[in-house]
Order: sequence, then structure tokens, then C-alpha cells
Amino acid sequence: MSSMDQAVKAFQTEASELLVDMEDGLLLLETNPEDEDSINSIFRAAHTIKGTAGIFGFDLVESFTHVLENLLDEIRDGKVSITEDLIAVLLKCRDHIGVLVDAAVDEEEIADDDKQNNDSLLSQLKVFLGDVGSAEVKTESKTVVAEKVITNTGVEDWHIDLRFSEDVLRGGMDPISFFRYLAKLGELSSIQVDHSALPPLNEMDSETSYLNYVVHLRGEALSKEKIESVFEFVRDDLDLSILPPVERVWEFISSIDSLPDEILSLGELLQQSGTLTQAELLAALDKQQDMRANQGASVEDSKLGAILVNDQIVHEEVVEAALNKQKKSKEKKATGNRQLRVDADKLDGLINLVGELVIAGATSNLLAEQNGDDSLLEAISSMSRLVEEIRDSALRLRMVQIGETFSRFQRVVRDVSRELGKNIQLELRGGETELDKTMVEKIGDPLMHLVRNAMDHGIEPADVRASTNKPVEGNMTLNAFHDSGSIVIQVIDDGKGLDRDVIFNKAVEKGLIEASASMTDQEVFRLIFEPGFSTAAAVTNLSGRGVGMDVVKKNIESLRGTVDVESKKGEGTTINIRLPLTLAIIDGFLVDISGSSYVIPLDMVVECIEMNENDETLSVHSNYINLRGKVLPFLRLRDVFGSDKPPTGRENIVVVHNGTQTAGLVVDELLGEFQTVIKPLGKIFQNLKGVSGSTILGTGEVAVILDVPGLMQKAISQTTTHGFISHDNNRGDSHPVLH
Amino acid sequence: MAEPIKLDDLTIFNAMSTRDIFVKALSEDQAEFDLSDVGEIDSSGLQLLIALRKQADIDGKNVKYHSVSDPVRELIDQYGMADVIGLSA
Repeated sequence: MSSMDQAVKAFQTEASELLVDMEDGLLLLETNPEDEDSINSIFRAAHTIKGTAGIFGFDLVESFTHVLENLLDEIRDGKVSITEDLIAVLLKCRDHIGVLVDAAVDEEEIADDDKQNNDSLLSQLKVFLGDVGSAEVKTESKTVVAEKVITNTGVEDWHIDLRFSEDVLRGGMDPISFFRYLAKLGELSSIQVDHSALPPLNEMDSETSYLNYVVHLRGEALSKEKIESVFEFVRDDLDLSILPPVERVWEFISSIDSLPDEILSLGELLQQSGTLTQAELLAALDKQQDMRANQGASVEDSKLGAILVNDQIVHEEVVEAALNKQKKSKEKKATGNRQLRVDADKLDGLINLVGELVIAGATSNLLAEQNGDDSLLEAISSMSRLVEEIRDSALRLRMVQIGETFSRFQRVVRDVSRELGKNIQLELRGGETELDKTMVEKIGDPLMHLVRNAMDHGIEPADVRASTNKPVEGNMTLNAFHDSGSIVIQVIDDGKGLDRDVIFNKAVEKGLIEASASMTDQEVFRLIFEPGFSTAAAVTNLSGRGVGMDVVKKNIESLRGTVDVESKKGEGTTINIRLPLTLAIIDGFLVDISGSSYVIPLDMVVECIEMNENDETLSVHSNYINLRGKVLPFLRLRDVFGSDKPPTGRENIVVVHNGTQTAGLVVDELLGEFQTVIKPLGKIFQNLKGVSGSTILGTGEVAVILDVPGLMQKAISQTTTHGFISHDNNRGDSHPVLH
Repeated sequence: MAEPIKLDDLTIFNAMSTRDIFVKALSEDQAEFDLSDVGEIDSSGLQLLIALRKQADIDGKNVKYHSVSDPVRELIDQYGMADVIGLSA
């Protein structure tokens, strides 16, 4: 039975893929009702789901999808016109099929709600179908009956259709004797005699064969080849078609899916899967050639797949699977992008090993340096370069495009804008931008909240927009791009923007800031991420479900990311989420502060400068320097980490940047680049500011990885508001005078 | 009423003669057959029996079978042809 379980699972996977296709198709259709490709792909999806659900006896799925398919058929024929209401119902049906499939696969009863939903959707579908006229409804019931008849023959029966030539009896062959032989291969469940070609006695020739037969055979060890071989002697006098039992359809489909991508011809795919024999293929190809030569048949009918299905040689579902496979293989070939599904755990294991390799490499390097062995150093340096490349490619394995996550929002934006009664379009940009798989998974929820929030509170209702000379249709944009070792994801709306004063007053009211505080717009806007902060006058059921912006921020920070807001009143709001590309290994810049090692992510380092306390560009008390005419706030890490040992030499400033901000970090010594394997800090250090992780050095020592965005925030706020770090007037005194 | 016509094997080897017997029997309204001696029947025999019934229906005549041998009964049943041929169980 386990092969059956697998088949059911395969069905579930395929169904969910098809439902995604269906959703994409419906959304496309909504914007472009003329798009025939979309209609066809929706229809195909419904049809395939119905067919395979029927094979497994998932009656609810089958009967529901059947009605849907009827409607889709009418749509395809242009008998039902595409309206917004229609698309809305079809989308609901699509969701409902998902529910039904899951319930059927889990062998669970569907919930009462879903049952009601089922009935209401069916009646809605019938309303649309009713528009076409009652004649169509009749054909519907007819097809149901016809299908019943087919299923009655039993799922495990091979269906063998035999048309003997007129001369078979004269040739000394008796069809009946073949059936007797078949009975030895398996169990003959029925033989049907088609005598429609047989004339009455007076007109017949008693030595001519007029009868055709349909034989149903069941048995464990049957195969097409085996059955075919029984009729080897009469091949010339026989038109034979062997249709495998529907039970086997899934075996064929899954074997087609597992065939190598090199096979591009439909015939070969079917043959390799075991559903088509060489003889059948040759016969079908001959027939195809005849059809094309006569030009009587339409191009559609003379396709190999159509011939095989019409002649009942191969099940329609199998042909479809093979065509799909063929299409996918061709696409892969075309893009040269052949893919391999790998268990994520294996990948994580590999990356862990690479991490250990990096550390081990650092140790070897250190030892070689200590021993002063030049040739060993040289060997290690080329090894390090390779390790670096391995590290990069291993990490790249985990990278996925963000586009798939983005496109999920098409449906969200559509549904939410309906719900809110607003007309909002979603624009997606930078979908090809890659980031770590775990990030993609974890960024979905925060993004969802931001998008819903922007649609609910950001974008104004159409009448307000019209009165302010904005396009009536609101616009949401999701954008992604790479920027200095991070990925930036933007959620942009063209709504009313944030109101600085409202936020400021609210924050004062909540006691988050003092009324006298002077803050930049950016800082004020950032307050919306504070816990317990909500500017929404009314809490709708969309946003304000208890998950606030503070949770969004927390989620993003747990990914070592940052979030900030830009907004212009009346013009819209942009939320920038900045995430590191990876959570595992980075290029680091190693620095020393009173004997301890710290790592700054290299991507954030702009330059290093020497700190000269006597320099007139330096303003010790204000914690900023004049860097080529620009104000550069800096932070003494010595102070941050509470070291009381005096620096032994001249200090250095590492200039770091994050997004548009730049700041300096004052350190004792610069130790150079270092491949850093990020080890998470334990739970007790989770709330520690300024530190994002730890790593192990070649010597076995532990170095702390600095949380640059956090530190920069600190550096910038102490120069602007003078309030973040306690202002230390005696700092100059506590510092030794540099020689 | 004449005796039912006793038939020999219904195979391709005597298909021609069987057909002649059937045609003659129908034309003489004597279509009553005894199948107890039929040791073998093949598809030519089967189609003759069906064709006979078809002709009889057209002509509006009756065909009757008396005692049927096991091989015939077995084949007719397996092929589900009893009703078509008019061979009651």
C-alpha cells in the first residue's frame, strides 16, 4: 500500500502546484479577460485535478471540480463572459478545492463550515452555468453517467481493445483461443463482444470475421509488453490497443516525472515510462503521418498525444503528465538552468562543515605564520582562497529568489483591496533578487503585516484620492535589491504618508518621549515600531489584530536586519527592510580593543583612518570628527565595552556605513580581514545591545561580532540628541594623553 | 412439427455448411436446433449464431434451441451473449 500512499502524496503535491497555476491564471485573467492561455491553464488545472481525484475515489473533490470544469469549459467557449464576480467566485472555488484535497488526502471529514461553503459555491457556479441555458445542464448529467460506466469496469482492469481484420479466421486464427491464453496470464474479468459490424445471416460471409472484442483482464504481473506478446502471431491481422488500469496511471505519471530531462520526445517519454510499447508508438506515428498527408484531420487531432488518447492507447492524464514533463525539460534546457531538489538538512550540514573548515583553515594559517614557514604559508594562502570560494558557493546554494514570496502578495492585495473597498494595484520589482532560504521563510509574515498595514492605513479611499489630485487607483510596490552585502526589501505605498505631528503627540502621550525632545522626521517615524504604539484611529480587522509594528521590527531584528521608514505627507510611505544576505558565514574585519578581538562585518566597512587626538578636525567632547568636510559621529568601543585599560598605541577609526548612514568606530588595533563563521550567542546574551554573535578565531579564542547598525544608532543619537549615552564630561581627563 | 436440427461442431471448418443449414432452416420456418452434440465452438460459430438471430429478427421469425452442450453454454455465458443469441439460461 505504500506505493498508493506515495501516489496520494504525489497527487497532493501536484494539486497544490496546479492550484497555484490556477490562481496565477485567474489573477491574469482578471486584468486581461482576453487571455486565452490563462483560461486554458485554469481549465487544464481543474481538469487534471478532477481526473486524478476520480482515480483515487476522492468523490467530493471530483464532483466539485467537475461542476467547476463545466463552467470553465463554457468560459473557454466564450459562452460565459468574464466578470469580476465570476473571477471572485472562481478564486473561492480554487481555495475550496485546496481544502477538499487536503481533507481527502488526510482521510478526514470536511468541516461543517467547508460543507456549507461547498454547497454555496456549487450553487453560485450553477447560477453562472444557468446563464448558458438548460441544454448545457443536460450534457453535464450525461457525462456523469458515462464516467460511471467506465469506473464500473474496475480500477485494476487492463482494458484491451481488439479489432481483428476480416481475414483472421481464414488465416487459421481464432480470437477465442487468444482469450483462453490471456486467462492464463491473469483473471479475465469480462469479455465484451461488439457485433455491430456483423450483418444478418443472409448477407454475411461465414469465413469473414466481423466481431470486435473488448477484454478486461486483471493480474499482478501484467505489462503492456506481456499482453502484446500474446498477439504476436496475429499482429498483421489485428488492431490492438491496450489501456493499462487506471490504478497504474499514477505509477506511469510518477515514472515520467523521474525520467531524465534529456528525453524530449513525447513518444520516448511514454515508452520509457512503460505505458506505451514500441509497436504502439510506431503504429501511432504511422497514423500521424497518414493524417498529416491527407490533411483531412486538424492539426490538434494529428498530434501524437491526441492520437494516443483518442485511440485509447494511453490515459489522457498520463499524456498530460508527459507533455508537462516535456515542457519543463525544454524550459530547463532553454535556460540551461537544470535544477536538483536537495534536502535542506543536507545543505545545512554542508554549510556547517564549511564553517568548521574555515576555522580550521584559520588555525593552520596562524600556525604557519608563527613558524615562519614561507612555503607552507603560500600553500595555505591558496588553500584559503579555495575555502573562500567553497564557502561562497555553499552559501549560494541556500539562496533563493524572493520573487515567489512576492507573487503570493498578488492575491493578498487583491483580496484585501476588495475587503477594504479600495482599488489598489500591486507592483513587484526585483523579484530575481536572491537571499537565504531561511530569510525568505521568515520575512513572509512581517511583509504581510506591512503590506496589509499600508493598504489599510496608508492608502486613502478612492474619493479622498480623487479630491487630492492623485490617481484613483492606489499603488503598492514591493521592491528588492542588493546593497553592500545586504538585501533591501522595500514596501512602498503612494498613500497619505505618515503625519509627523500625530505620531509625535501620540508618543508624548504614551510617555515614550518628552514633549521637549527635538527629533528628526526619521526618528519620529521610527517611533511607530515602538511597542504599544498605534496611530490607527480605528482598529480594523485587518491590521491591529494584536500583532503590532513592534513585532515586525522584532522579527526583522531577529534576522540581524534593520527596518526604517521614509515618508512624505500626502505622497506615501516607504518602509526599508535591510537584511544580511546570510546567517551563516561572512567576511569580517578583525579589530582589537584592549586585547580582545572583535569582528565588524566587512561589507559595512568603508575605510580606516588613524585617530589623531591633537588633530583640529577632532572634537573629542562632541564625539565627531570632520572627515573631508563632513561630520562623522564616532563611538569609542572602549567605552561601550567598558574597558578600563588605557590604549597602548595610537587608536584607529573604522568608518562603517549602513544604508545611508555613516559613522566611525574607534578601536585600538586593526587586525585585517577574517572569514567569520557566525555562532549564535546563547539565550542570556540575546538582549545584549551592540553584539550580534560570536565566532571562533584560529587560535581557538572567541571573538565578538559587532552589531554595526545598533552601534551606529548609538553613535548618531549621542551626537544629535545628547541623551542616549550618559554624557561624560570628564572623558578627556580619563584618557591618557597620546605621545 | 419436425425434429430440431442437430448441429455438429461450430468451428471455422464447417462454418460454410453451418451457414447453409441456418439459411435453409430459416427459409423453411424450421429454425429449431439441438446443440447437445456441439463439442467445439469458435468465433466463427459465435458470429453465425448472432447473425442467425439478426436475420430472424428481420424476417420476423423464431429461433429455438434445445439442449445446449457445456462448451457452448460456457462460451456464450462468458461472452455475455445469451440474450443476444436468444439462448435462455
